[in-house]
Amino acid sequence: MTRTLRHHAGTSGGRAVVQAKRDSLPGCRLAPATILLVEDEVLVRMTLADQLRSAGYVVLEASNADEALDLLHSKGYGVQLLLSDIRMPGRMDGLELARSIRAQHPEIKIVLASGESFSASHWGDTDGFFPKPYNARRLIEHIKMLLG
Amino acid sequence: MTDNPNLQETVLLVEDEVLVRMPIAQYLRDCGYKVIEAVNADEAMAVLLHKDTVVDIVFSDIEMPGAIDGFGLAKWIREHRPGLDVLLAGTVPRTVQNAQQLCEQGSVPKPYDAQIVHDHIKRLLDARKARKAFE
Repeated sequence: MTRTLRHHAGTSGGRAVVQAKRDSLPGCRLAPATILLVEDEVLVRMTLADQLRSAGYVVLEASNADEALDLLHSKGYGVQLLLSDIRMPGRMDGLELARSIRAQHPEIKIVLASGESFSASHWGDTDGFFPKPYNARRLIEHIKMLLG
Repeated sequence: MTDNPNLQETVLLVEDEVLVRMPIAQYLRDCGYKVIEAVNADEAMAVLLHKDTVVDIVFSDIEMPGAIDGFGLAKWIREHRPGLDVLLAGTVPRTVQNAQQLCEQGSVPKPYDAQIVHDHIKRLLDARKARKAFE
């Protein structure tokens, strides 16, 4: 299956609209930070991505660890923070994904989340752990603190 | 298109290849649409069955892993969400022809040309608004 996409930059004027919206957000005068969100439950992913975009972030969505690594290894897309569920189907769970990204991209902040409790020995090398269901306000406050 | 998020039109994008899905989703967002990403038909149906989520148009790949491909999803939408426009995309010409027979709204070839996708979606949403205005 092909992975090509042809863009016609500047033909829609859409980027100007989005940038104007971002500029109107308090504290978002600089280019918005990019968050890689990894969550296998579509309704949870959709809701959280929407909340993060409303807070002014660019959000890349992945439904599992392989998709997340594909996004990071293709062009990187300037990801500054990984926000990942721990329990996910597929080759790697969130903890393994976090370890892999920490080793390859130490500059990327990592925040994990789970509906189950995990001891700090599991997620201690990351930049935070949040229980699910997500408290979006607290999570976004934490992300703002991490990204400055 | 509008800056008011409550008036933004919403595209449900169904595509299993993340490196295809992400750029077209970002492009459509840059054009002013709200985009919900689904990786397969099951996720798309979960979104469409979610009562609080408004979807104005579905843009789906035809060839997807799982029990239901893009054609199956389009048939399910016709049954469960009649009136919701579906735009299908595929790589094989015959598949695209089948899509055109299934969906009056037509289809787009892959690899995606972002501008063509945007033009199709805009045309369908404009037609939808015109239909509603006459109702």
